[in-house]
Amino acid sequence: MSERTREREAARTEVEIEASPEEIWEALVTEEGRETWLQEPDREVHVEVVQAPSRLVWWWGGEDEPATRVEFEIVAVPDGARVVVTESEPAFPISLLAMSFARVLA
Amino acid sequence: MSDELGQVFAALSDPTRRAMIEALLREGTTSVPRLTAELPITRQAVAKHLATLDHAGLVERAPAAGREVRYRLRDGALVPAGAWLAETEAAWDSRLARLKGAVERKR
Repeated sequence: MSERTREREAARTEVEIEASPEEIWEALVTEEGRETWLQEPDREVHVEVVQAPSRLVWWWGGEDEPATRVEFEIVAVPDGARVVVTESEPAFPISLLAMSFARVLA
Repeated sequence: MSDELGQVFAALSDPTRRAMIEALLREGTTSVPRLTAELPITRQAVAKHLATLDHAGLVERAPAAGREVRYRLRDGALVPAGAWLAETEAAWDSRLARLKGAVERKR
């Protein structure tokens, strides 16, 4: 699998926050914490992996939507922490998309 | 997620059908005999999977070249899935901006 393909395995984005990984962890892992920022009342969160304060995986989905897998990685950086989130639809190999785009561009 | 995208995901949830799409991405066109030679399944099973991919809008018959019926990927077939990826990343950008605001305000 090429580098290009690998990087399109899932939707991925990140943010840097001026706070410790522990402070961010509280906002991710507790329902009270999530209420302050998530704003997705129609989606139910089912937590799968909990490795405080660096890795959290949950599954979620709304009505009529296939469940997707959301993974958070929290890494300490000099002024705080970086949060990287990836969301994937396990039934659907996003790598196919990358291949199709490569074909169109070729 | 739209019905259209749901059908694409459902069609691609099967490893045999994914292998067929990968063959098409590699080779451009394919046919029932060719897929039957490549995959460990019967000709009937190949035809059935191709019908599912056709129904989901992923493949179509290519213009005939000789007697063999050939199939190709339909243009733009995977675009809805690409849109999902872009929408999902944009949604997370907004959520992470709110997360940053909430956590930094609390300090």
